[in-house]
Amino acid sequence: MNDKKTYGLFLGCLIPSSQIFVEKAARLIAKKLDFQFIDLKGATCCPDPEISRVVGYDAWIRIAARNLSLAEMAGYELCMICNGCYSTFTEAYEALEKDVKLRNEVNQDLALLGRRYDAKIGAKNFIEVLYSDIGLKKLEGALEKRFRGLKVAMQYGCRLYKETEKEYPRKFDEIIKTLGADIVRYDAERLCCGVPSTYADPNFSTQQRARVKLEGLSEKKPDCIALVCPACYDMIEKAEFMFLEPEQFIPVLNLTELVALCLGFSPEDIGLDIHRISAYPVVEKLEEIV
Amino acid sequence: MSEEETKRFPLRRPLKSPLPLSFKGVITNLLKFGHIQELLDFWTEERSRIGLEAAPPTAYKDEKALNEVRAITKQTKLDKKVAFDWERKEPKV
Repeated sequence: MNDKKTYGLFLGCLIPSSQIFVEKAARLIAKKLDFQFIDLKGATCCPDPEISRVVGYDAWIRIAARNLSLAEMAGYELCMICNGCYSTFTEAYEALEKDVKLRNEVNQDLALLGRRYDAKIGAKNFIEVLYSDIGLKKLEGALEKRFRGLKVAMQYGCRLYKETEKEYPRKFDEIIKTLGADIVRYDAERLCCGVPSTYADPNFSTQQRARVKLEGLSEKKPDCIALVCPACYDMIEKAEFMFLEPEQFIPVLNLTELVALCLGFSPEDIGLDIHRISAYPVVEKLEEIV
Repeated sequence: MSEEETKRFPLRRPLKSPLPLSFKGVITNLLKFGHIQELLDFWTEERSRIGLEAAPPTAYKDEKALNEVRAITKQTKLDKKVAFDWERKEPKV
């Protein structure tokens, strides 16, 4: 019998369609750390927590419930590698778990599609899977390489602060430290990357958010920026092209990539060459564990 | 949303049309692809190159899933908010 811990892998939209190195790295990590990702067949957009929820809450909660029902029917907890999707499912789960009337209404409509969601299964952030389910001890024991002298600036993203009791920023820090990297602090660390305000005012979002963040970062001269949010990734990368000279570019890497590199996977395994801002300077700071 | 929630979170209340153009693109993509970003040929090739399935088993290649999302958007009238033309698979304006 297969007793590996199993999660339904929810990819979202941005990761499978443009940040494929995150998906690849997550799958490699699962293999190496002896847990299992089952593809959530028939998944769709979560839908996004910014636009879809505001424009059409009824559609948003029903599509979210439909996605959650796929995992519930399969019997797997969802593992989220996208912060936006995590936010949608956490909020949808809470609403449907607490509000029985809403759940009944949603289920009436889902029944037309042959589906049902009883709010028994929610979503788990990948940070939580690594930190709590796998554990830092097991992660450390599986490392084949560690970073030496790698200065990492953290981009937590707004969503990680929404559930203060879960202490995601601290857990994220601890995972990064386990990989041997040094965290550099900067003033604009908690500042939003600017994505949510893009839809209302792109100029504000780039000038007052992304640019301010980059200015704060540049002073500290980090070797890379670590994050877990595909929307932050897009925004920061775009801002670097807008406001920095090529020689000032700071590589932006997802947590999954940093972990996969330390687990011994090569840049080619992960698809690191796909980054528009080269991530190879980070690889040069890896050292074999002897 | 309940009336009480609308008071507490005024920015989350359903928008009245006309919808800002920047919002339209996201909803249009959701109706067209079941995802807010299209999976371009370039990326299916890149996915294969690094050893992933060319398209993940989501609405990107699962027509049933896409149709279920479309059914929800019709039922909840989300399609009306972007004046979606189901024949052309584009907003009317």
